[in-house]
This record gives sequence, structure tokens and C-alpha cells, in this order.
Amino acid sequence: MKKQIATIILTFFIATAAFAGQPDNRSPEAAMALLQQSMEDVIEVLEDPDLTVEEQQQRIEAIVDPVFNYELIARLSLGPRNWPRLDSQQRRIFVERFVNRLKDSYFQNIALIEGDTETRISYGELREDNNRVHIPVRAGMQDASVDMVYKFHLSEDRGWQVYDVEVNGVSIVASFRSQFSQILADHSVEELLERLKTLEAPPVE
Amino acid sequence: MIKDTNVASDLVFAGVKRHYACFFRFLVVSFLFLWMFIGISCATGQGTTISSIAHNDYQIDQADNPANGNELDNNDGFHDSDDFNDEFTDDFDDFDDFDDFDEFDRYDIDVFDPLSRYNRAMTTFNDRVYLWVLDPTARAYATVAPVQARRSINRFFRNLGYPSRLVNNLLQFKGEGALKETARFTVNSTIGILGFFDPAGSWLGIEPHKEDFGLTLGKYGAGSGFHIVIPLLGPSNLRDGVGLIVDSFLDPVFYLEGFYIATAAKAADELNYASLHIGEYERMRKEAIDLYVFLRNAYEQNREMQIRE
Repeated sequence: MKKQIATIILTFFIATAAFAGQPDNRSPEAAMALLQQSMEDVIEVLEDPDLTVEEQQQRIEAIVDPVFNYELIARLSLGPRNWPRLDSQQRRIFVERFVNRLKDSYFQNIALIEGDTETRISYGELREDNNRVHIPVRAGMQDASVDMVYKFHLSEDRGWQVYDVEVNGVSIVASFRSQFSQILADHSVEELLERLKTLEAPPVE
Repeated sequence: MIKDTNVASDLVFAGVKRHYACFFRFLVVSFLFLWMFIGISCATGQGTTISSIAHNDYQIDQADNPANGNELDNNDGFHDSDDFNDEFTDDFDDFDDFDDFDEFDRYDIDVFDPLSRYNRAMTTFNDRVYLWVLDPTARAYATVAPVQARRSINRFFRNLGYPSRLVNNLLQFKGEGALKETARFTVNSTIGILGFFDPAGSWLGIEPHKEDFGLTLGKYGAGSGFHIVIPLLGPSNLRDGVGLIVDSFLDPVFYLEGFYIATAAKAADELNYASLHIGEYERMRKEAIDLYVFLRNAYEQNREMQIRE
């Protein structure tokens, strides 16, 4: 009986503490909490031995999809100079193919980094700037470590979402931006869309 | 008289021959330094610091540089492009986003890349050498040599890089880095048996502080100059190419007697390193849409981060 009461009281305290201590969803700490939670969830999926690769991918997508603003990443990667060159049909195809590609490569990389049981994840101090938060994350492995920065921005309706990821200082958006502007300087939009079709090594020029 | 000059020239020639490697490197360094100053003065290289600051720097660079002057107008993008408006009014509100995220705009502008033709060709060459020669060899070697042995060999070679790391930490006034590197070298060379083991890292938790002369130059404000793809070694730029040569003076491997032995040691290091990173390059190159631009951009962004640190 005593134990039950204690449990009830404890539960009550935890609940109120959680409720009162809940930072509002728009605070920078909320972005940090969101990132840590989704990282933990992803690692849990990757370490589950009963899941097939397809099941893993599906579950990871379910965890990661709400955190990433894929469309924004796609548009930022093309940039203000080249976005106007695409008509609405081409924009739709571009975003669709780009996002598929991005998801494929994200899945492959995350499986590699976080699927390794020896990997230790540590979070750096978050950097705040207006409605943006950059969170450094270090994945330490046996002989090397990978430094990542997850860049969140606060949108009106969807809360904190990732708009770019840096891996060892290499921003994904910047990487695509430089490639797309080079390709579109030399080739047509159609050619770009064609090259985006699959995640495979590009033809050497 | 004639005989005397012959003796003199013989002596000089012998001296040069003996130190021809040094002499050659001296020439290359001077040449590259010259190039670099030209490069810096007209570099539109990718900036150095955090986005907003770099963006401002960049605009100033642009204004100074008549060759890229007109790019500045296009930088603000769609405002000028009236010809697009008729066709693309449907998504016009999308453009609000771009104004909020101008941190990426400097990657829009054409990079100053006078060697791009050579660089592309060399990227192809290096790509094939890696995929056709180095990678299969590394895979074969990996099946023969156990991974612990290969890790030890890698640690041995990294330990030899201490002189350059020390000097460059000192040149950048990084006292902590210099101390930690010294502690690592002392512990690993003795208790770690010539650097084959890493007790400093695994027992004492002393992390390496990698620095090289390219980073030192970058720290003191040298721009990247322009991109150069080095045969077999891969992406680099004017600043880091100079750094590489300066650092080679501090590399014990280069002081091995005989050119072939030093080269063989370097090759062994590369092969061993590749055997510990099998498949990484293949995975990375799949991400690329334009391999050369992808590698160039990744290299420059990575170096910028290291310079900031």
C-alpha cells in the first residue's frame, strides 16, 4: 500500500515536473530535445536485430521525416539564382527526385555512423541566431570521429525543422548549390533532372 | 683556369645533386608563393569565416575585382530577372525563404578556377587510379594483414607527423595543442613502442591537434588562392599546396636516404591508410552529381572549418 502511494505521488511529481518544465516548443532547447530524441530513436531502430533493412529504413523515415524540411532543403540547394529557371512542373520533379536522393544518402550514412555499436554520440553547445539554432554533434568511432552540425530553423506552423546538415564542415546545401550552379551554367534543366534520377556515381566529364 | 672553374662547377653541381631534392623544393616553394600572392590578389575563393561575415567580405572582394564585377548584380537574383516574371509568377512567394537563408549565396557565384580544365582531367585520372589500382590493392592487402596490424602501422606513420604538427601549432600560438602533441609523441614513441600504439589517446585521453602549414597560412588570412588537383594526392589549392611542400621539410620520411625508399614509404602509408577506409570513397562519390565540383567544394569547406577551429 505504502509502495503504491509512493508510486502515485512520484508519478504525479514527475508528470507535473515534466509539464511545468516542458520548455515551449519554440525555445532553442526544444530543438535540442527534438534532435536528441530522434537520434536516440534512430539508434534504437538500428540496433534492433529483428528488423530487416527495409523495415529499418521505413521506421527511420517515420522518425526523421517530421524533423527535416525536405522541400526547403531542395529549394535552398537550387538557390535563388536557379530556382526561377524551372517551371512549376520541373520544380515538382526536381523536389521529388532531390528528396528521394537525399533520403537514400541520409539513410546510408546514418546507418554507417550510428549503426556502429562503438559509436559515442556527444552534443556540443547550441548556437542561437534569431530564429535559427545550430547544434554540433560529434560521433566518435574507433579511430576517427565525425563532426556534424544540425541546423534548425523555426517555422510558423511546423516548429523546429532541419534545413541543412554539415558533416565535417561540409554543408549539404552548399555542396549541392555549388554543383547545381555549375551544371546549370553548362547544361539544361532537363539534364540536371536526368542526373538526379538515381543515387549513383556520375559520369566523369 | 678553365680547370678551376670546372672543379668549382663540379663542386656546385655535386652539392646541388646531393641536395637536389631540397633545392628543387625550394624552387617550387618560391614559385608557388609567387603564384599564391597573385592568387590572393585576384582570388574569388570561398571566404573564410562564419556565413554572414564571409558574405560581407565576399561582396567587398567582388567589388574590388573587375573580372567578376557583374556577378554582384546577379547575386540578388530574381529581382532583376524580369524576363522570368511572366512565366513564373505562380511560385513567387517562395522567394521569401531565400532572403532568410543568404548564408549559402556565396556558393552560387562562380569560383575562381583558372585550372578547371586540368583539374577535371586530373580528377578523372585520380578517380580511376583509386578505383582501378589503389582500391583493389588495398582490398587484397586487407585480406592478408589483420586490421590491428594495419591500425598500428597507420598510428606509426601519424606519429611521425609530429614535427610538422608541433611547428604549426606553435606558429598559430596554440600552446595547448603544442603541449598535447608533445605529450602524445613522447608517450606514444616510448610506451607506445615507436608510435605503433596509442596509449596517450586510449589511456590518457589526449586527443591529437592536427595542424599543417596550409592551415597556418589560412589562420593568418591567406586565401585559398585557387583549386589545384594534385596527381595521386587529390584536391588541394594554392595555399595548401605551398603548405604541403613546407610541411614535407618537417616530414622525417622525406629525409630517408634515397628517393625510392622515401617514395616507397609514402606509398606504403597511402596503401595502408586506404585499407582502413575501404569503400568510403566509393560511397562518397555516389553523392556527387558533378564529381569534380563536389570534391572541390567538399575540400574547400572542410579546410575552412579546420581554419576556423
